[in-house]
Amino acid sequence: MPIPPLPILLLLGGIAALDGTSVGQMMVSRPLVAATVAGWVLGDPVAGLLVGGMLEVLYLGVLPVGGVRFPETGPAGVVAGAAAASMGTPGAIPLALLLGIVVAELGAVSITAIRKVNGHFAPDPEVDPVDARRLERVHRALVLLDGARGMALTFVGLALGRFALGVLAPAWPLDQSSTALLLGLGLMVPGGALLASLGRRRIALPLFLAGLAAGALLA
Amino acid sequence: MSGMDPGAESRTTVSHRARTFRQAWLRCLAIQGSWNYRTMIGTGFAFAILPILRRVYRDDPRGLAEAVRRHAGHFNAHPYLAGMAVGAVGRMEKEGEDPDLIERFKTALRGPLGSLGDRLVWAAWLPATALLALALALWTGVWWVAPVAFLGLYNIGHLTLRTWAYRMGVREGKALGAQIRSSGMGRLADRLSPVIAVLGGLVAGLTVSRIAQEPGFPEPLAGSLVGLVLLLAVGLWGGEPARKWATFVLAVSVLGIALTGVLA
Repeated sequence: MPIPPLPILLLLGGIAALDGTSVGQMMVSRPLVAATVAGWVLGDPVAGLLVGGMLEVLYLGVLPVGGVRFPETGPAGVVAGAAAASMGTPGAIPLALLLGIVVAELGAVSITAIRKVNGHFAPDPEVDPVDARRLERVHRALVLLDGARGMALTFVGLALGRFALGVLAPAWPLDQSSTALLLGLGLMVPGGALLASLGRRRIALPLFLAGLAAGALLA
Repeated sequence: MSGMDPGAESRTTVSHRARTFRQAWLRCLAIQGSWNYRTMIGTGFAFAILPILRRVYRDDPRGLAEAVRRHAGHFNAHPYLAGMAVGAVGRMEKEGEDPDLIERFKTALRGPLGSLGDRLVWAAWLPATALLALALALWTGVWWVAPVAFLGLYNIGHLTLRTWAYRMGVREGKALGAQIRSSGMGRLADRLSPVIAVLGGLVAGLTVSRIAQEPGFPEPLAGSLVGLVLLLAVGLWGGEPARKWATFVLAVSVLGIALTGVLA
């Protein structure tokens, strides 16, 4: 009996959320991977890869350093990949991208919230004696809680996609080439910002242009 | 154990020690599991170093409780390099160093392990491997090349860095500071920056060419290309604030266009 895709997508969302911060950081949580796998689960990995690649360009320059608030790309990638793969219309990719951006921001809010919850449960050595076994139990429980948060966020994203994109996708007014142009224009600023994050713009820009020419020749 | 020959006893001890250090390495994979704004990865640090502490204080429950208390306080570092601190502090605990010295040592490590890891991993290795994987997928036209190449390449570097960092910590102990300075991690990050610029251009060039080759794509691309270059320049000079605004504008534009279609 085939397993229905919803439990698989929720599990993927949970794993992606865990991989983002709590366990491993093997980068299964990058949209390039999460969205492609979600698209593959729904039978259209190329749509997943397209939207995952675009989310990657949007968020590749975001550094999850220290206590800063950052968009969460793992569950967002799963939701966007699933949405892109399930629509099959010219509006599929931009609307899936929009959904991915919304879920990434919801993820940022939920990470801030769970870090406050973690602070409530984590042993405070300034106040209480810290028991080794209790510390292990709490740490493992908080890892599980983060996985559950990822699954819940993925569920919310998929529900939002089903409701909103069900209305918006059939009415998408642009054809394929205009849609591609819109997305190309929209991704240029984040692409430039990624280049800027490398520093030394006078060196980075000529190298980027050399790469651009090489890419155009190779295609 | 009195009947056991000394060689076998020594081998058993070495094997136990290796297992203990392996357990601590594995636990470092989950060092951020209880990340919070009070102790940051402090609870995770205590969780990761616990197998070593249990071995060091195996006959001293009060010593163990005190050591766990000391290590559950505030700590932060890049997750891949935090193992370096776990290994070094584990060795210092084993050698019976003064707890105040260990605390000062941990405090001194926080900054370098955070900034070096952020520069090398998040700002250099991650974009380099992601862009290389995207370029390979666009060039070959095979969808699975992107995730497979990215995960493969990225994690070769990732797991090598984690293992190297942990081993260096265990080997150097309190002499770690000098080794970090001479490790060349910062230089490696600097060397990756030009590679990322070339790969970014390669991905952009391959993408634009692929889109332009699509059947039915409109001819008058010249105006669009001027727009693409102008927007790239906006991002290049606007940096992170420009990225945030562009993401917002893109999302609002897509929503606006979709709503126009619904209302039409």
